[in-house]
Amino acid sequence: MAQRHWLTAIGAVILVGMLVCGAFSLGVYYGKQGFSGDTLRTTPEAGPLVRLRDEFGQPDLRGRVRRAVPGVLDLATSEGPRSVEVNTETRFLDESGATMNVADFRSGDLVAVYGELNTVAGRVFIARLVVRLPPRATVQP
Amino acid sequence: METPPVTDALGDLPLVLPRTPAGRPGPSCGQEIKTAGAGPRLMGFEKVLRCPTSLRRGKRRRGEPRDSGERWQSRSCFWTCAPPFEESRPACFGPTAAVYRGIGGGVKPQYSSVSALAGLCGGAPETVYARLTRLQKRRNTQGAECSAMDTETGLSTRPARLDLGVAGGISLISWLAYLATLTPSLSFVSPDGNELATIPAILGLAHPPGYPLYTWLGKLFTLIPVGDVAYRVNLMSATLGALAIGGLYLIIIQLLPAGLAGRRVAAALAALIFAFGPTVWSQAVIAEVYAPNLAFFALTLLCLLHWERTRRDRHFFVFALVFGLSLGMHLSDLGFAPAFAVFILLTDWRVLRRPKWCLAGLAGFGLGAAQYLWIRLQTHRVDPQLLLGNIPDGLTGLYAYTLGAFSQLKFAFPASALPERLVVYLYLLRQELGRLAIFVGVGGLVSLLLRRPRHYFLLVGMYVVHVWFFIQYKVFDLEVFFLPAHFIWAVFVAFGAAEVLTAARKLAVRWMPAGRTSAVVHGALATLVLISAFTPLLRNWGQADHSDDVAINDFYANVWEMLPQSAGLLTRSGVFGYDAFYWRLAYGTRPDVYLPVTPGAKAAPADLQEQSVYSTVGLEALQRAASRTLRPAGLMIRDSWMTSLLVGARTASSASTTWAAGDHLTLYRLDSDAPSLVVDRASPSITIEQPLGDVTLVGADVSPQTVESGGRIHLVLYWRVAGAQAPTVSVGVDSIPLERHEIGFGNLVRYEAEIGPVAGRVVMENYWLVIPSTLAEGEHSLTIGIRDAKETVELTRMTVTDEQGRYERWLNATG
Repeated sequence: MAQRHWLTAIGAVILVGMLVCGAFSLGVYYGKQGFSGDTLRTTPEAGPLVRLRDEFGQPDLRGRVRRAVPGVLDLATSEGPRSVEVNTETRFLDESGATMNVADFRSGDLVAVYGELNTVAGRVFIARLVVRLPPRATVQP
Repeated sequence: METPPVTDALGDLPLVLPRTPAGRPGPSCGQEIKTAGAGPRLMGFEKVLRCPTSLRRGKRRRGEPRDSGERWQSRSCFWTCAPPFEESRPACFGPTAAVYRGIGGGVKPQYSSVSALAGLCGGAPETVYARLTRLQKRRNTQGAECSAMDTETGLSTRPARLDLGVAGGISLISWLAYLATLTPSLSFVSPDGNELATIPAILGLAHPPGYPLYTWLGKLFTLIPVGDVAYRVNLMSATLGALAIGGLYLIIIQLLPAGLAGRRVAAALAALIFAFGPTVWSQAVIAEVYAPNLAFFALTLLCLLHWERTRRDRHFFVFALVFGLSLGMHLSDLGFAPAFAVFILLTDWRVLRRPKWCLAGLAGFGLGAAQYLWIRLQTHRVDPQLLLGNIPDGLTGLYAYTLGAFSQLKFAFPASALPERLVVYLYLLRQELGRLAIFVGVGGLVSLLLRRPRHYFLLVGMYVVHVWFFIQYKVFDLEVFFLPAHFIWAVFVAFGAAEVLTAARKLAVRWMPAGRTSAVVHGALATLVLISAFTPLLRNWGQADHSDDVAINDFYANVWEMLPQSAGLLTRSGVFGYDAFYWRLAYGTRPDVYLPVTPGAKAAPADLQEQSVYSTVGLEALQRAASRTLRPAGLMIRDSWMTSLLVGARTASSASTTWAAGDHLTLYRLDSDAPSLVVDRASPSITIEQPLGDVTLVGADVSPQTVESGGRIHLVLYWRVAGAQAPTVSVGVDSIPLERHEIGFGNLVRYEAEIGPVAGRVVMENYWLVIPSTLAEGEHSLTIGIRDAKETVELTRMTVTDEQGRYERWLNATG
């Protein structure tokens, strides 16, 4: 009986800890993103893809930046959250075609990504080129 | 000693419960209970009462003086009664406890006789008594005392036969749904599924960490005479996935206390919601490790719960063995070891003091994990592209191939990113089980903690470690890695649902007259709940249906038919190359065609000097660094022209993926001379002269007019273009797009630069288009239009026949 009380007490502490972690994470996330809809999934916007396709071909991935740090670009895509690996060979271009750095990306930026899945197991998408698109997408004719 | 006679309210064997001289309440430990009248002595209860019991009357503890008129309640630590238990008996506390209640001044037990228990449980008194005695003897032989068990409601409950039947039914429903939506063969949407469909057939070595058990089980499934090899491996995913769902039900039903109303309904609800979640379903219809891993995950838990009940060393060995084997499905299962250890120690800490049990556990786990030594034997079969720079040779190499693989993906996020990563997990949980399931699951956690504290630590321990690890895992499609966590959350959901149903039932009983009305309400509620369990089935069916994913097979069946003798074929390498390797490795298709990057092939430039070279990879990809393709050194492609010969057709399920732009469904021929892209005069058999955006479709030649489903038609399209930057066109059937390509297949810019201008001239495209084997027989309209534009032009009407079944056609292509 005493053991059960101890187990229950410790279990309650763990449960409260889990809930606190979850609530804290949600608080941090919504504090940054706001409560404007589902920010982990986005409807693919047409964007100025005509120019992109002419120059680079059809992008492999499109979405909005959630987080951009050296090594990883977290996106919200039409399939949900996706993480893209970026490395020293990845090129970053802005709307005008000028070179930029991964640190220049801001949360909410619309991007088109060109790259491929890792040959070994296919679970890592390595970006070759990331192009930032204008914030207001134009509708594809 | 006074022995006031009492009458059992339910049983036909009255029970005499003497008071002790010390005035302690009711029957005390060690006290023999005699029956008055005919019937077996309650020796079983006597022995049960030898176990320390928890006497409780509200807040009163055992040993406290009991006043006359007070109620006392004792609860034995002994519980497995003769099944089945009837939930309709409201007084029955189920298989977890035999309870009786006494009132001061005379003991009036409720379920205090063997016959009463037998009446509740539906068995004969003699059977109940014999079983109690036998089980108690076994426990005493084992030396397992009740002290470690008595302090909680009880052990997990052995499932009744009815529950086995329900589990089988749920598995069957799941299996049928998976079967109906199963990928017919190779998958367009799975990144490494085609490799995992091929490797078992040849008992080869998959990408790190190797998946030995998956390979062996897959080999067994490839022996089933149905479909083709890839279909059989897909079938393994569906079958083991369905078994995992049944296992989930059994786990839940063993954990849910019998005192909770609607436990079977809650368990079925949770299992079905999990079965038809989008990620679970998506993995159960392709060749992947995640659905089979769930089956072994469930089996490991079931074995652990079985050991918990029996406390036998051989069952401990079986659990450890199954756990070790499960690592051959997915190595991340190793993360559950700490939670298993905690649970085992909480169940019976004396395991540490029993060398026999420790040896049994280590031996079982070691035997299961020894499967990875098989990898060492397969070194010679490794695809060089999959080595990650390490050959599984020696212990160091073996470690690097297994536990050390993908180290760059693990713990790849800084601490500051963890809150957001946790939100990603919560998002995925919501996507999988629904928003309501999160809240119900939280309630279930509380219920599990209060009712099954030891099992709480088991499940929460597994859950927390799993989530904590994978929120820091840097992969593209994270959702598949959380399936075990979602599995555990489904258990929490079941607990929460059972509490809700219990509360609802109490309300119904309170507000409605007892008897039939209560049963009707109960049944209606159960029906409503079960119907809602099928909501994910209907909602996710369309997305999960991969039964029309025939793009890869249709394409390659035509490729093997079209390639000339002794041609060379460049393909993608690594796991993606198995679109093509499958045919060669599983069936030995076209041994004359040289595949330089096939596992084990030795590419040499001389091998392709005199051969016609074809490719399923575009020129740009071939020219890039060999991250996706590998071409023999010395093969000059920089000046080569890539002429498109065959274009594969995408179907609905394959069109929904964003994995790649789909250029691997095109067969190119590498030529040193420019193709005949521009013609001076166009004389198509079908004149159209239809402006489409900036271009004009002059006409087309289409042959044959009658085509076999899965076959190909020959298209010659004539375009008058305004310049080299030509738009993308879409060719389809009945206005449903089959393929998209840029006019000229990407050669116009180079043609204009090297040969001559194209503006105002007629560009001719000459290629074959694959007709999907899912296309129904009959007449169809072949249409063309500008990509994403609504307006389409009908090229011609064609007749599709289906004289060969698609499997027959694919297998014929294998030769």
